[in-house]
Amino acid sequence: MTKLLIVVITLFMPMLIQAQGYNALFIADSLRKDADVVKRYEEYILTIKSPAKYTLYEKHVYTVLKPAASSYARYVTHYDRFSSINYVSAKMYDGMGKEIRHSKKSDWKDNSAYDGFSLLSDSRYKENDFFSTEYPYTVEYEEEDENNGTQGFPRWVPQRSPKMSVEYSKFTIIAPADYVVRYKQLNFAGQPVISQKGSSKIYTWEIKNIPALKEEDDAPPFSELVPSVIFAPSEFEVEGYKGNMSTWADYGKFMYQLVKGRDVLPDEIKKKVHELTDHLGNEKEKIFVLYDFLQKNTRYISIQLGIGGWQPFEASYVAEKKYGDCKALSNYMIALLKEAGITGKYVEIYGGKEPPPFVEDFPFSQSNHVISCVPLGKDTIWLECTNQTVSPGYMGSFTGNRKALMIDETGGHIVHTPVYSVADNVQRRIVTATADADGNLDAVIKNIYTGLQQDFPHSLMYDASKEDREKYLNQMFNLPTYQVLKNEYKELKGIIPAVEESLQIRLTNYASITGKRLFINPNIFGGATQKLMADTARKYDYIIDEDYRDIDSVEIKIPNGYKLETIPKEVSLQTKFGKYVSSVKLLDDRIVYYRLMEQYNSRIPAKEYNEIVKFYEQVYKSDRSKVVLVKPE
Amino acid sequence: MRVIPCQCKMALLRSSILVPLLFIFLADSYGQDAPINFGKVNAADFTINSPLIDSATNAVVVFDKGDMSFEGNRSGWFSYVFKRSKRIKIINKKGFDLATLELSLYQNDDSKETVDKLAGFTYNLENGEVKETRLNTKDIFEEKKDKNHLSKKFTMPAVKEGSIIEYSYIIKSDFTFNLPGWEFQSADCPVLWSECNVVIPGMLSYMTFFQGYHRYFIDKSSEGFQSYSIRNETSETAYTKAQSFSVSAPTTGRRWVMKDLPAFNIENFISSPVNFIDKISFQLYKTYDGQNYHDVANTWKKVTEELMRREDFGKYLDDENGWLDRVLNPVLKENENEDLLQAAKKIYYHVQANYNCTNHYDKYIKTSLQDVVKKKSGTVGDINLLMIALLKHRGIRALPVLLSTTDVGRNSADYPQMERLNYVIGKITIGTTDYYLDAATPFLPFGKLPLKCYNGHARVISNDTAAVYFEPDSLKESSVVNVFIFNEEKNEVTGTYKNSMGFFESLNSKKQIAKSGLAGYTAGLKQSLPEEILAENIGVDSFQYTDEPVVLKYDFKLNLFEGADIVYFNPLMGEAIKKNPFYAAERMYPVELPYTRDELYILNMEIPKGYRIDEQPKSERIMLNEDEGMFEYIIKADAGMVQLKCRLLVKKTNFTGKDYQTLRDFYTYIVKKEAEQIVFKKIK
Repeated sequence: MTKLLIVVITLFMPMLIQAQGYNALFIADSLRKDADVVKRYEEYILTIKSPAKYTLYEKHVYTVLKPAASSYARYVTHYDRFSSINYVSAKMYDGMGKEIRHSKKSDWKDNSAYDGFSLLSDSRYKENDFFSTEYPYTVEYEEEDENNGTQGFPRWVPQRSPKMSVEYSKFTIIAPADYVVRYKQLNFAGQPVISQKGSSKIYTWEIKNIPALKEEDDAPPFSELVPSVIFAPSEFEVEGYKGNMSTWADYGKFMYQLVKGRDVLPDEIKKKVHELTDHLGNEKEKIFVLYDFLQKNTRYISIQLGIGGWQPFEASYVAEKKYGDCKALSNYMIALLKEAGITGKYVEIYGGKEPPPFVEDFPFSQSNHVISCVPLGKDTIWLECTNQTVSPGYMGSFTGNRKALMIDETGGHIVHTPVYSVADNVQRRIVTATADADGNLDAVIKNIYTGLQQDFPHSLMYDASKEDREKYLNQMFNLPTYQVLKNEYKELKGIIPAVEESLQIRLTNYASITGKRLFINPNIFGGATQKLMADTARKYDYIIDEDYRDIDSVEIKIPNGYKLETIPKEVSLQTKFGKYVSSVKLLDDRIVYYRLMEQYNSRIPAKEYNEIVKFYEQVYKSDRSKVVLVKPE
Repeated sequence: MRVIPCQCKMALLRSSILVPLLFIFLADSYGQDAPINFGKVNAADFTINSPLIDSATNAVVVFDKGDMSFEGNRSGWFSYVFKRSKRIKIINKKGFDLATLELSLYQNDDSKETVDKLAGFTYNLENGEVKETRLNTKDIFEEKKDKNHLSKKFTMPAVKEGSIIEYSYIIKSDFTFNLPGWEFQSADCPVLWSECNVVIPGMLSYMTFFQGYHRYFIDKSSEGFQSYSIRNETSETAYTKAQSFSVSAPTTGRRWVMKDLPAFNIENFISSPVNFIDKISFQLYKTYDGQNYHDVANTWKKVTEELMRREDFGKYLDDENGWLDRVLNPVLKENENEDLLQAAKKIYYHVQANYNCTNHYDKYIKTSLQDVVKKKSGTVGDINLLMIALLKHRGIRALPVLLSTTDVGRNSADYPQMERLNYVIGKITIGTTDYYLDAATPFLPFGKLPLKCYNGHARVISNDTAAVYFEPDSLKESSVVNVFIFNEEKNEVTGTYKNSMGFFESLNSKKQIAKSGLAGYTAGLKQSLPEEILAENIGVDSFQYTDEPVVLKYDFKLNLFEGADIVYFNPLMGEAIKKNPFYAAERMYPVELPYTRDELYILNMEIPKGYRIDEQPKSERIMLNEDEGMFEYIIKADAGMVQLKCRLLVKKTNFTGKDYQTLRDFYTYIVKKEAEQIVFKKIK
């Protein structure tokens, strides 16, 4: 009897768990709160067969509670020359956990993963999407991939978005016992469970019951708020090239061998280099001249090929075709420098406005871009080789102010690209305007933008067509009816570049005239500042990640016969995150307005959030204040 | 520049086999030749003078030529041969994008398009000499997009500012029903010479569609004679050999050239730029096999008949479809006495609520209606044809209606342009009333269509194949905003706000609420109000009812009158139009608005205690082109009350380029008037 009973339990228990497992009724209230989707179950099994090969098993089960999270019903999996999908399957369950659909092979769409800019990329993806308008529902995806080459491993991030809660997630690595498994835990307190099975070592991380997060604007980076574990290879192999990533030195040495020897220039280019630089005495001058040569004679074309996308095309290729991707162009630049007797370095970097925090003490590939530099200590010159118009030495918001990895024969070295401060990122605007009796304004504007503030005008100047620039200028200002009659741009190159913009604008009925009064806001072109909503329960720190200074000087000549009735009060605010000054005066027939706004890179504790709200509220109000003039009767 | 009113004019390219031809014209033997010698670039060619080029021009297409001709193929018929040659001068870096190209080729189980003789050269002027760099075939990449599409991609080598690039290729295709269309104009840069030549054998007759705003520099036809060798391998069996024969046929040629075209600049308030660019397209309408003429022309009658027979369109609708009971019974709950309109509404809302539209550009049933029901998703064809099948199954007269959505351009009522008819809706008739239904668009009430369907001609797919028209002029967006402002006991000024939204504003609000939740919607509203208005008790009525317009209501405190000696108050509160939507100072193309408007704003305000009006805006009314629109601002005030009635009427949706200035001035005036303020002074 007893024996029979045991059998019954082992047969029934798993089915019972399964059936209950996906029933949405069993989701704890704490996981429902603020959540649009609940990750019910997740499992990864990463099996490292050798430094050259690994398989990855994944299973993801989501219960979608609200339409806003319906994108989780869609599953996309990528593959390319190095990876293949052994199998992938998908099932859908209703709110009670009853299976209602499963995918057939023909349901999986197979597409080219064209990134929109690469000329060639062999990346493809398969996707399946489930639909239901009856919430909640549950989807289950299961997949196994085979990967050749171990350039990197997936990261374990159980909670993928603020409105996701997690019931259970688990990550397992199975590796040969002598293989060094490298990991770094972020915001994860526990330790992996490690066991040995035959010649393999098994590492397991698991986590349960993570509630959804409160969604707040300008919160710290998401990766700082949720637990995750990063994994990286120790020994690895890519298309026959072997390396070890355990230290930056080894990682760098591997990268160096991919770049080494690919800097041979054709004679004709060598001759050109000497022609351009031999007569110059100063190293900096030589660098700038060669960079100018690069910008004038190449362009950026993305081709994702070669040793897992890691190896640059030879310098001779770029010399002939006059194009290349970031790796090829940087390598070419270094080759040009070398011919002139200057040592340029190859630098891996993450390009983008908001780079993920660089993990310094855990070597793995953290870049998506390559630049070059000439190390001169404090005066190191940084060169973005994919841009044909940027000033030499200027990094801008795409590659500035971040850590990067410089590669040479001794390995990888962590470097920091230039930081642009409040004093660097300035917009200085001088407006001289005349108002006529109907309230129309003729304004002449001179803007000088420097540092990060010139990035956009720089692209207006160099990237936009004349038509697009005019279209943009004629709708960018928050003004009733206006026409930009003239626009002119001039660039002043430099380590901190500047763009000078001259505009002539006709504003129809800018000043509002009602009977005997004339209303005019002297802050004509500035002051589109935000209004934040007060929140006494702010949970996360408030992040300001832009240093800048705006200075506006405006002079408006007003029509005859008006006298001052009301004038905005002078405002002067100084806080640790920003400064604001505005003052307006009537001097004879001219309104003279001054505005200064500064914002500082800072992290404001959540409890001080309402001070920021108050600051911006005062700015908002002051920026919109009007001068009222009246004609004496 | 002369402006020809834009419409799809139709002309027929006819070739007749009956007339013996005694002399042959070579297409290039008259008219004017192209101003350049393709394939030969001299130093002088780098200097291009044209009034279209100024310091801001990024690139210029010097020459663009497409030759379309035919050759016999191996399946017993003709293939078209499309030869393209193009020269571009890259003036500055912004023009570099024109040096990268992608050719898309179609293929199916029967045949595939091929590209031959793809060649490219970049020419650079170095020290007065022309240096030539050839495009290496190794640098031409091939990418398989999906089952039916292959693309060839390449970028020209050695491109710098000032380079001239030339490339040419030949595409051969058995898919002769549509020849490649020819766009004379480019959205990227000016085109100095754009030429399209066709030579068509008498066995094939094409219909030609023209559109655009510029005139032809050359438009000449010619006649000729040509031999075609045709092989028929499809008839080859173990016993019969493939047939080969040579066909001599008269040909009809035509040459169109446009010169000095400015870049096509796309502006706002245009439903689809596709309608305006200078373009020619071709469709086969008749073939001759040596014995008989075959009318392959698409007539509405033919198209409808074919669609009604198609497995993936009409055939499903005629079937018994007993299986639909399973879907229908839970919806209708077998209420036999229910009237048809009630049943139709239930079916419509059921389909709308339970099926997700994943593709708004596909009018056909992808797999089967059973599959759609299983997957709860599909194309617009899947979903609306399912709805029609369900309606028919319930005994309601329901028919599909094909149309083009605004973004693909208008379609001709005279001739079916199948590639433009991308959308299908349903038409039902109950009693004597017709209803048009689109269950593929969420939140849409029964009997309404989304804006993108208001694009002129649409076609009912039935035996009598009737045309129906959906014009934006027939749509009216009416809204009423009521604001009351009172004096409260504690010297506070408070008020109520109520906005009874128009149809499309309601639809947008419903979508927004569905996306960001009611809390998100009201938070956004609070943030958008002027700082002196503190809203509370925000209520949104009817957002959960598809059939009803949304009403937004709130109470507010007005923080303006706290003892100030002078108070300036804009009586339109947050409702004023602050920015002229017609921002371009000039415009060539017409303005197409999505609907006509009737917006009414009414304010009733008790003058705050202790204050008097010092000055108020004048009452005024202006008309737009006599009776095409009106704006009125009527304000009345006495010692205790201010009343404002502000109304904006725009009665039509299509304004010509000539009317643009008037329309812009009309809005300039509105923006100005709505900025005016009432001045209150404290009574001393």
